[in-house]
Amino acid sequence: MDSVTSSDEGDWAELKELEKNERYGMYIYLINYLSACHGRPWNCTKDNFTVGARSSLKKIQFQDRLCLLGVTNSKARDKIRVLTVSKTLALSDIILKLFNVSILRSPEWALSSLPTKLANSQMSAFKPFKKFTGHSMGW
Amino acid sequence: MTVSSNWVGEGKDPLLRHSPDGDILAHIIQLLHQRVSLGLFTMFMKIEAHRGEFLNEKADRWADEGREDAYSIQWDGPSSHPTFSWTDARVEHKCSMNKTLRTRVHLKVAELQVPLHKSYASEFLNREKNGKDLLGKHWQDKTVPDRSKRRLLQSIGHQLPCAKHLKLWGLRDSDECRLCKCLHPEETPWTESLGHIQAQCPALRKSRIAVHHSIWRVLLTAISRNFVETHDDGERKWYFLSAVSEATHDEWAVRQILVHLDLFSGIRNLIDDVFTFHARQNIVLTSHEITSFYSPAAGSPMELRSTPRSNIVSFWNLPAQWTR
Repeated sequence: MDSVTSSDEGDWAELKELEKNERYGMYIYLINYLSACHGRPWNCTKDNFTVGARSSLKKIQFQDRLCLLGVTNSKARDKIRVLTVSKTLALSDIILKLFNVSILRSPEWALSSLPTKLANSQMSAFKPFKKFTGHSMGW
Repeated sequence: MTVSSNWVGEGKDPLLRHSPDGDILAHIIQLLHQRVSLGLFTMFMKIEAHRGEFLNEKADRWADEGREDAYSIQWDGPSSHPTFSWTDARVEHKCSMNKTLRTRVHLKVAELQVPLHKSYASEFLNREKNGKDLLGKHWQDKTVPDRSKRRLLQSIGHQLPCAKHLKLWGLRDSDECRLCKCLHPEETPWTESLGHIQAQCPALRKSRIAVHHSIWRVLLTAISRNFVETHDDGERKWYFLSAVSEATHDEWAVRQILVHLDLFSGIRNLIDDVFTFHARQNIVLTSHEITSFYSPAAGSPMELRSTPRSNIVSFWNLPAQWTR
Protein backbone atom coordinates (compact mmCIF):
# COMPACT_ATOMS: atom_id res chain seq x y z
CA MET A 1 0.00 0.00 0.00
CA ASP A 2 1.38 3.35 -0.90
CA SER A 3 0.01 6.80 -0.96
CA VAL A 4 1.66 7.87 -4.12
CA THR A 5 0.23 9.42 -7.19
CA SER A 6 0.82 8.22 -10.70
CA SER A 7 3.92 9.69 -12.22
CA ASP A 8 4.58 10.95 -15.69
CA GLU A 9 6.53 7.81 -16.52
CA GLY A 10 3.50 5.55 -16.81
CA ASP A 11 1.49 3.40 -14.49
CA TRP A 12 3.09 4.04 -11.16
CA ALA A 13 1.25 1.19 -9.45
CA GLU A 14 2.60 -1.46 -11.80
CA LEU A 15 6.15 -0.20 -11.46
CA LYS A 16 5.79 -0.07 -7.69
CA GLU A 17 4.52 -3.62 -7.51
CA LEU A 18 7.46 -4.85 -9.54
CA GLU A 19 9.76 -2.96 -7.20
CA LYS A 20 8.09 -4.54 -4.17
CA ASN A 21 8.33 -8.01 -5.64
CA GLU A 22 11.99 -7.49 -6.32
CA ARG A 23 12.63 -6.05 -2.87
CA TYR A 24 10.86 -8.74 -0.89
CA GLY A 25 11.45 -11.70 -3.18
CA MET A 26 14.74 -12.72 -1.63
CA TYR A 27 13.32 -12.65 1.91
CA ILE A 28 10.34 -14.78 0.96
CA TYR A 29 12.66 -17.20 -0.74
CA LEU A 30 14.85 -17.34 2.38
CA ILE A 31 11.93 -17.96 4.71
CA ASN A 32 10.58 -20.74 2.52
CA TYR A 33 14.07 -22.18 2.27
CA LEU A 34 14.53 -22.18 6.05
CA SER A 35 11.05 -23.57 6.51
CA ALA A 36 11.91 -26.50 4.25
CA CYS A 37 15.29 -26.98 5.96
CA HIS A 38 13.70 -27.06 9.41
CA GLY A 39 10.82 -29.24 8.25
CA ARG A 40 8.21 -26.60 9.05
CA PRO A 41 4.86 -26.21 7.31
CA TRP A 42 5.30 -22.55 6.38
CA ASN A 43 4.65 -21.37 2.90
CA CYS A 44 5.41 -17.70 2.61
CA THR A 45 3.68 -15.59 -0.01
CA LYS A 46 3.26 -11.89 -0.49
CA ASP A 47 0.31 -9.83 -1.64
CA ASN A 48 0.61 -6.23 -2.72
CA PHE A 49 -2.17 -3.72 -2.21
CA THR A 50 -0.83 -0.75 -4.08
CA VAL A 51 -2.99 2.34 -4.25
CA GLY A 52 -2.13 5.67 -5.82
CA ALA A 53 -2.96 9.01 -4.27
CA ARG A 54 -5.51 9.73 -6.94
CA SER A 55 -7.25 6.51 -5.91
CA SER A 56 -5.72 4.60 -8.78
CA LEU A 57 -6.56 1.14 -7.56
CA LYS A 58 -6.91 -1.87 -9.78
CA LYS A 59 -10.31 -3.00 -8.69
CA ILE A 60 -10.33 -6.61 -9.85
CA GLN A 61 -6.76 -7.30 -8.80
CA PHE A 62 -7.34 -5.72 -5.39
CA GLN A 63 -10.50 -7.72 -4.77
CA ASP A 64 -8.93 -10.95 -5.98
CA ARG A 65 -6.15 -10.54 -3.45
CA LEU A 66 -8.66 -9.88 -0.70
CA CYS A 67 -10.44 -13.05 -1.77
CA LEU A 68 -7.18 -14.99 -1.45
CA LEU A 69 -6.89 -13.69 2.10
CA GLY A 70 -10.26 -15.13 3.02
CA VAL A 71 -12.58 -12.18 2.42
CA THR A 72 -15.06 -14.17 0.40
CA ASN A 73 -18.01 -11.82 0.74
CA SER A 74 -18.12 -9.53 -2.30
CA LYS A 75 -19.85 -6.75 -0.37
CA ALA A 76 -17.16 -6.87 2.29
CA ARG A 77 -14.47 -6.75 -0.38
CA ASP A 78 -16.03 -3.72 -1.96
CA LYS A 79 -16.42 -2.10 1.44
CA ILE A 80 -12.71 -2.61 2.11
CA ARG A 81 -11.89 -1.15 -1.28
CA VAL A 82 -13.97 1.94 -0.57
CA LEU A 83 -12.43 2.30 2.87
CA THR A 84 -8.91 1.95 1.53
CA VAL A 85 -9.39 4.48 -1.22
CA SER A 86 -11.08 6.93 1.13
CA LYS A 87 -8.28 6.64 3.65
CA THR A 88 -5.65 6.98 0.93
CA LEU A 89 -7.23 10.13 -0.42
CA ALA A 90 -7.53 11.66 3.04
CA LEU A 91 -3.95 10.89 4.01
CA SER A 92 -2.52 11.89 0.65
CA ASP A 93 -4.08 15.25 1.25
CA ILE A 94 -2.18 15.50 4.52
CA ILE A 95 1.10 15.17 2.64
CA LEU A 96 0.11 17.99 0.34
CA LYS A 97 -0.91 20.09 3.32
CA LEU A 98 2.32 19.39 5.10
CA PHE A 99 4.32 20.29 2.03
CA ASN A 100 2.49 23.57 1.81
CA VAL A 101 3.01 24.28 5.48
CA SER A 102 6.69 23.51 5.14
CA ILE A 103 7.37 25.77 2.19
CA LEU A 104 5.24 28.62 3.52
CA ARG A 105 6.33 28.58 7.15
CA SER A 106 9.29 26.46 8.01
CA PRO A 107 10.89 23.48 6.25
CA GLU A 108 11.32 21.94 9.68
CA TRP A 109 7.63 21.11 9.71
CA ALA A 110 8.38 18.38 7.19
CA LEU A 111 10.61 16.67 9.70
CA SER A 112 8.27 16.99 12.65
CA SER A 113 6.27 14.16 14.16
CA LEU A 114 3.02 15.82 13.16
CA PRO A 115 2.42 13.53 10.16
CA THR A 116 2.60 10.45 12.37
CA LYS A 117 0.06 11.92 14.78
CA LEU A 118 -2.18 12.92 11.93
CA ALA A 119 -1.95 9.57 10.21
CA ASN A 120 -2.74 7.76 13.44
CA SER A 121 -5.62 10.00 14.43
CA GLN A 122 -8.85 11.37 13.20
CA MET A 123 -7.73 14.00 10.73
CA SER A 124 -10.61 16.40 11.28
CA ALA A 125 -9.65 16.85 14.93
CA PHE A 126 -6.34 18.38 14.02
CA LYS A 127 -7.20 20.78 11.21
CA PRO A 128 -3.49 21.29 10.56
CA PHE A 129 -3.94 23.78 7.81
CA LYS A 130 -5.90 26.25 9.92
CA LYS A 131 -3.75 25.61 12.91
CA PHE A 132 -0.34 26.04 11.41
CA THR A 133 -0.79 28.16 8.35
CA GLY A 134 -2.73 31.12 7.23
CA HIS A 135 -2.69 32.10 3.61
CA SER A 136 -3.43 29.18 1.32
CA MET A 137 -1.48 30.32 -1.77
CA GLY A 138 -3.88 28.44 -3.96
CA TRP A 139 -3.51 25.10 -2.21
CA MET B 1 -58.42 25.41 -9.08
CA THR B 2 -55.57 25.01 -6.62
CA VAL B 3 -53.50 23.14 -9.16
CA SER B 4 -54.24 25.48 -12.02
CA SER B 5 -53.26 28.52 -9.93
CA ASN B 6 -49.65 27.45 -10.38
CA TRP B 7 -49.83 28.65 -13.97
CA VAL B 8 -51.83 31.86 -13.45
CA GLY B 9 -49.63 34.86 -14.24
CA GLU B 10 -45.95 34.06 -13.66
CA GLY B 11 -46.93 30.80 -12.00
CA LYS B 12 -44.82 28.57 -9.84
CA ASP B 13 -43.99 26.15 -12.58
CA PRO B 14 -45.12 27.16 -16.06
CA LEU B 15 -43.85 23.92 -17.54
CA LEU B 16 -46.67 21.80 -16.07
CA ARG B 17 -44.13 19.04 -15.75
CA HIS B 18 -44.96 18.05 -12.19
CA SER B 19 -48.70 17.78 -12.74
CA PRO B 20 -50.03 14.30 -13.50
CA ASP B 21 -52.85 15.92 -15.53
CA GLY B 22 -50.63 18.49 -17.14
CA ASP B 23 -51.75 17.68 -20.67
CA ILE B 24 -55.40 18.23 -19.86
CA LEU B 25 -54.76 21.27 -17.75
CA ALA B 26 -52.73 22.85 -20.54
CA HIS B 27 -55.79 22.90 -22.75
CA ILE B 28 -58.03 24.21 -19.99
CA ILE B 29 -55.59 26.99 -19.13
CA GLN B 30 -55.22 27.89 -22.78
CA LEU B 31 -58.99 28.19 -23.04
CA LEU B 32 -59.09 30.37 -19.92
CA HIS B 33 -56.38 32.62 -21.33
CA GLN B 34 -58.43 33.05 -24.51
CA ARG B 35 -61.53 33.96 -22.51
CA VAL B 36 -59.61 36.45 -20.37
CA SER B 37 -58.04 38.03 -23.45
CA LEU B 38 -61.50 38.40 -25.00
CA GLY B 39 -62.79 40.06 -21.85
CA LEU B 40 -65.28 37.31 -21.12
CA PHE B 41 -66.41 36.67 -17.59
CA THR B 42 -65.61 33.19 -16.26
CA MET B 43 -66.82 31.89 -12.94
CA PHE B 44 -65.97 28.58 -11.32
CA MET B 45 -68.43 26.91 -9.00
CA LYS B 46 -67.78 23.87 -6.89
CA ILE B 47 -70.57 21.33 -7.42
CA GLU B 48 -71.01 18.32 -5.21
CA ALA B 49 -70.61 15.29 -7.45
CA HIS B 50 -73.36 12.70 -8.05
CA ARG B 51 -76.07 14.62 -6.25
CA GLY B 52 -78.45 14.89 -9.19
CA GLU B 53 -77.24 18.33 -10.17
CA PHE B 54 -78.29 18.89 -13.76
CA LEU B 55 -75.01 20.39 -15.03
CA ASN B 56 -72.93 17.88 -13.10
CA GLU B 57 -74.83 14.99 -14.59
CA LYS B 58 -74.48 16.56 -18.00
CA ALA B 59 -70.71 16.95 -17.51
CA ASP B 60 -70.47 13.27 -16.53
CA ARG B 61 -72.38 12.29 -19.63
CA TRP B 62 -70.09 14.42 -21.82
CA ALA B 63 -67.09 12.82 -20.16
CA ASP B 64 -68.45 9.33 -20.95
CA GLU B 65 -69.10 10.33 -24.54
CA GLY B 66 -65.65 11.92 -24.74
CA ARG B 67 -63.97 8.70 -23.77
CA GLU B 68 -65.64 6.91 -26.65
CA ASP B 69 -64.89 9.69 -29.06
CA ALA B 70 -61.96 9.17 -31.42
CA TYR B 71 -60.79 12.69 -30.64
CA SER B 72 -60.24 11.78 -27.03
CA ILE B 73 -57.57 9.25 -27.93
CA GLN B 74 -55.00 12.01 -27.48
CA TRP B 75 -55.85 12.14 -23.77
CA ASP B 76 -55.20 8.45 -23.30
CA GLY B 77 -52.14 8.35 -25.53
CA PRO B 78 -48.58 9.14 -24.52
CA SER B 79 -47.86 12.70 -23.59
CA SER B 80 -45.69 14.95 -25.66
CA HIS B 81 -43.08 14.94 -22.91
CA PRO B 82 -39.87 13.26 -24.06
CA THR B 83 -39.25 9.84 -22.55
CA PHE B 84 -35.73 8.50 -22.14
CA SER B 85 -34.66 4.89 -21.97
CA TRP B 86 -31.36 3.16 -21.21
CA THR B 87 -30.12 -0.29 -20.38
CA ASP B 88 -28.12 -0.82 -17.24
CA ALA B 89 -26.98 -4.29 -16.17
CA ARG B 90 -29.29 -5.82 -18.78
CA VAL B 91 -32.30 -4.04 -17.31
CA GLU B 92 -34.09 -1.48 -19.42
CA HIS B 93 -35.09 1.73 -17.64
CA LYS B 94 -37.55 4.32 -18.90
CA CYS B 95 -38.48 7.65 -17.41
CA SER B 96 -39.08 11.29 -18.21
CA MET B 97 -36.51 13.92 -17.34
CA ASN B 98 -35.78 14.11 -13.63
CA LYS B 99 -32.82 14.83 -11.38
CA THR B 100 -31.43 11.30 -11.51
CA LEU B 101 -31.68 11.14 -15.27
CA ARG B 102 -30.08 14.57 -15.63
CA THR B 103 -27.12 13.42 -13.53
CA ARG B 104 -26.85 10.27 -15.62
CA VAL B 105 -26.90 12.29 -18.83
CA HIS B 106 -24.19 14.63 -17.53
CA LEU B 107 -22.07 11.63 -16.57
CA LYS B 108 -22.51 10.02 -19.96
CA VAL B 109 -21.65 13.25 -21.75
CA ALA B 110 -18.52 13.57 -19.59
CA GLU B 111 -17.55 9.98 -20.39
CA LEU B 112 -17.91 10.70 -24.09
CA GLN B 113 -15.97 13.94 -23.77
CA VAL B 114 -12.98 12.55 -21.86
CA PRO B 115 -11.56 10.37 -24.70
CA LEU B 116 -11.50 13.40 -26.97
CA HIS B 117 -8.85 15.02 -24.79
CA LYS B 118 -5.22 13.97 -24.68
CA SER B 119 -3.83 14.97 -21.34
CA TYR B 120 -2.60 13.41 -18.11
CA ALA B 121 -5.97 14.00 -16.51
CA SER B 122 -7.91 12.34 -19.32
CA GLU B 123 -5.40 9.49 -19.43
CA PHE B 124 -5.97 8.92 -15.73
CA LEU B 125 -9.74 9.21 -15.97
CA ASN B 126 -9.86 6.88 -18.96
CA ARG B 127 -8.36 3.95 -17.07
CA GLU B 128 -11.12 1.45 -16.61
CA LYS B 129 -11.81 -0.39 -13.36
CA ASN B 130 -9.16 1.58 -11.58
CA GLY B 131 -11.11 2.84 -8.61
CA LYS B 132 -12.11 6.15 -10.07
CA ASP B 133 -15.76 5.48 -9.35
CA LEU B 134 -14.86 6.25 -5.75
CA LEU B 135 -13.58 9.71 -6.56
CA GLY B 136 -17.16 10.86 -7.01
CA LYS B 137 -18.15 9.41 -3.65
CA HIS B 138 -15.23 11.14 -1.99
CA TRP B 139 -16.18 14.34 -3.72
CA GLN B 140 -19.75 14.10 -2.43
CA ASP B 141 -18.67 13.27 1.11
CA LYS B 142 -19.72 16.26 3.18
CA THR B 143 -17.21 15.48 5.91
CA VAL B 144 -14.34 16.09 3.50
CA PRO B 145 -13.22 19.74 3.72
CA ASP B 146 -13.67 21.86 0.64
CA ARG B 147 -9.96 22.59 0.47
CA SER B 148 -9.21 18.88 0.36
CA LYS B 149 -11.68 18.47 -2.46
CA ARG B 150 -10.06 21.36 -4.28
CA ARG B 151 -6.63 19.80 -3.89
CA LEU B 152 -7.99 16.50 -5.16
CA LEU B 153 -9.45 18.22 -8.19
CA GLN B 154 -6.17 20.02 -8.76
CA SER B 155 -4.30 16.73 -8.45
CA ILE B 156 -6.52 14.96 -10.94
CA GLY B 157 -6.47 17.84 -13.39
CA HIS B 158 -2.73 18.47 -13.05
CA GLN B 159 -3.48 21.95 -11.81
CA LEU B 160 -1.81 21.75 -8.42
CA PRO B 161 0.24 24.93 -7.93
CA CYS B 162 3.55 23.13 -7.51
CA ALA B 163 6.75 24.61 -8.89
CA LYS B 164 6.62 22.52 -12.06
CA HIS B 165 3.22 23.86 -13.01
CA LEU B 166 3.97 27.37 -11.81
CA LYS B 167 6.98 27.44 -14.09
CA LEU B 168 4.90 26.06 -16.91
CA TRP B 169 2.40 28.86 -16.38
CA GLY B 170 5.16 31.48 -16.28
CA LEU B 171 4.69 32.25 -12.58
CA ARG B 172 8.04 30.94 -11.39
CA ASP B 173 11.52 30.89 -12.86
CA SER B 174 12.55 27.55 -11.41
CA ASP B 175 10.82 24.21 -11.01
CA GLU B 176 13.21 22.97 -8.33
CA CYS B 177 11.65 21.50 -5.20
CA ARG B 178 11.65 24.28 -2.62
CA LEU B 179 11.71 21.86 0.29
CA CYS B 180 14.56 19.73 -1.05
CA LYS B 181 16.52 22.88 -1.75
CA CYS B 182 16.16 24.02 1.87
CA LEU B 183 16.72 20.72 3.62
CA HIS B 184 19.14 19.04 1.24
CA PRO B 185 21.12 21.84 -0.41
CA GLU B 186 24.00 19.48 -1.14
CA GLU B 187 21.91 17.41 -3.55
CA THR B 188 20.66 18.37 -6.97
CA PRO B 189 17.06 19.49 -6.41
CA TRP B 190 14.30 17.44 -7.93
CA THR B 191 11.55 18.89 -10.03
CA GLU B 192 8.71 19.83 -7.70
CA SER B 193 5.77 17.94 -9.16
CA LEU B 194 2.84 16.18 -7.54
CA GLY B 195 4.58 12.85 -8.01
CA HIS B 196 7.72 14.16 -6.36
CA ILE B 197 5.84 15.60 -3.38
CA GLN B 198 3.95 12.41 -2.72
CA ALA B 199 6.44 9.76 -3.81
CA GLN B 200 9.99 11.00 -3.83
CA CYS B 201 10.62 14.14 -1.80
CA PRO B 202 13.24 13.06 0.77
CA ALA B 203 12.07 15.74 3.18
CA LEU B 204 8.65 14.11 3.38
CA ARG B 205 9.89 10.55 3.77
CA LYS B 206 8.75 10.38 7.38
CA SER B 207 5.27 11.55 6.40
CA ARG B 208 5.02 8.97 3.68
CA ILE B 209 5.97 6.16 6.03
CA ALA B 210 3.40 7.38 8.58
CA VAL B 211 0.72 7.53 5.90
CA HIS B 212 1.71 4.12 4.57
CA HIS B 213 1.46 2.52 8.00
CA SER B 214 -1.84 4.18 8.74
CA ILE B 215 -3.44 2.93 5.53
CA TRP B 216 -1.90 -0.46 6.06
CA ARG B 217 -3.39 -0.70 9.53
CA VAL B 218 -6.83 0.24 8.21
CA LEU B 219 -6.58 -2.39 5.50
CA LEU B 220 -5.38 -5.11 7.84
CA THR B 221 -8.04 -4.32 10.41
CA ALA B 222 -10.74 -4.42 7.75
CA ILE B 223 -9.47 -7.73 6.38
CA SER B 224 -9.19 -9.27 9.84
CA ARG B 225 -12.79 -8.32 10.56
CA ASN B 226 -14.14 -9.68 7.32
CA PHE B 227 -12.27 -12.87 6.56
CA VAL B 228 -14.25 -16.01 7.18
CA GLU B 229 -11.86 -18.89 6.56
CA THR B 230 -11.25 -21.21 9.49
CA HIS B 231 -9.42 -24.42 10.15
CA ASP B 232 -11.26 -27.71 10.62
CA ASP B 233 -11.35 -27.22 14.38
CA GLY B 234 -12.96 -23.79 14.00
CA GLU B 235 -9.86 -21.72 14.64
CA ARG B 236 -9.41 -18.68 12.47
CA LYS B 237 -7.14 -19.45 9.56
CA TRP B 238 -5.47 -16.08 9.27
CA TYR B 239 -3.72 -14.18 11.93
CA PHE B 240 -3.01 -10.48 11.56
CA LEU B 241 -0.26 -9.52 13.88
CA SER B 242 0.06 -5.88 13.11
CA ALA B 243 -3.67 -5.16 12.98
CA VAL B 244 -4.01 -5.62 16.71
CA SER B 245 -2.88 -2.18 17.76
CA GLU B 246 -0.71 0.71 16.76
CA ALA B 247 1.96 -0.43 19.20
CA THR B 248 2.36 -3.82 17.56
CA HIS B 249 2.28 -2.35 14.09
CA ASP B 250 6.01 -2.04 13.79
CA GLU B 251 8.48 -3.01 11.21
CA TRP B 252 9.69 -6.53 11.46
CA ALA B 253 13.18 -7.46 10.46
CA VAL B 254 13.73 -10.90 8.97
CA ARG B 255 15.15 -12.11 12.25
CA GLN B 256 11.95 -11.17 14.11
CA ILE B 257 9.87 -13.01 11.52
CA LEU B 258 12.02 -16.10 11.84
CA VAL B 259 11.78 -15.98 15.64
CA HIS B 260 8.04 -15.66 15.38
CA LEU B 261 7.83 -18.63 13.03
CA ASP B 262 10.06 -20.72 15.24
CA LEU B 263 12.65 -20.89 12.49
CA PHE B 264 15.32 -19.19 14.57
CA SER B 265 17.69 -21.53 16.33
CA GLY B 266 20.46 -19.21 17.40
CA ILE B 267 22.33 -16.41 15.76
CA ARG B 268 25.21 -18.61 14.60
CA ASN B 269 22.86 -21.00 12.86
CA LEU B 270 21.05 -18.09 11.24
CA ILE B 271 24.29 -16.64 9.87
CA ASP B 272 25.19 -20.06 8.47
CA ASP B 273 21.73 -20.44 6.96
CA VAL B 274 21.83 -17.02 5.32
CA PHE B 275 25.33 -17.67 4.02
CA THR B 276 24.33 -21.06 2.59
CA PHE B 277 21.14 -19.62 1.13
CA HIS B 278 23.04 -16.97 -0.79
CA ALA B 279 25.84 -19.32 -1.75
CA ARG B 280 23.28 -21.58 -3.43
CA GLN B 281 22.52 -18.64 -5.69
CA ASN B 282 26.20 -17.88 -6.27
CA ILE B 283 25.98 -14.76 -4.13
CA VAL B 284 28.81 -14.19 -1.68
CA LEU B 285 28.07 -11.80 1.16
CA THR B 286 30.41 -10.29 3.68
CA SER B 287 29.64 -10.79 7.35
CA HIS B 288 28.36 -7.21 7.54
CA GLU B 289 26.04 -7.79 4.60
CA ILE B 290 24.73 -10.97 6.17
CA THR B 291 23.98 -9.12 9.41
CA SER B 292 22.31 -6.32 7.46
CA PHE B 293 20.19 -8.86 5.62
CA TYR B 294 18.54 -10.44 8.62
CA SER B 295 18.82 -7.61 11.11
CA PRO B 296 19.39 -4.37 9.27
CA ALA B 297 20.63 -1.18 10.81
CA ALA B 298 19.22 2.20 9.87
CA GLY B 299 20.50 3.44 6.55
CA SER B 300 21.70 0.03 5.40
CA PRO B 301 21.54 -0.75 1.68
CA MET B 302 18.53 -3.02 2.28
CA GLU B 303 16.58 -0.19 3.88
CA LEU B 304 14.54 -2.62 5.85
CA ARG B 305 13.65 -0.12 8.51
CA SER B 306 12.08 2.17 5.98
CA THR B 307 9.91 -0.54 4.55
CA PRO B 308 7.26 -2.46 6.40
CA ARG B 309 7.92 -6.09 7.07
CA SER B 310 4.42 -6.61 8.28
CA ASN B 311 3.07 -7.47 4.87
CA ILE B 312 5.22 -10.56 5.00
CA VAL B 313 4.39 -11.41 8.56
CA SER B 314 0.76 -10.62 8.61
CA PHE B 315 -0.43 -13.01 6.03
CA TRP B 316 1.04 -16.19 7.34
CA ASN B 317 -1.20 -19.13 7.14
CA LEU B 318 -0.69 -20.14 10.71
CA PRO B 319 -1.56 -23.61 11.86
CA ALA B 320 -4.24 -23.82 14.47
CA GLN B 321 -1.88 -24.27 17.39
CA TRP B 322 -0.36 -20.86 16.76
CA THR B 323 -3.58 -18.98 17.09
CA ARG B 324 -4.40 -20.38 20.49
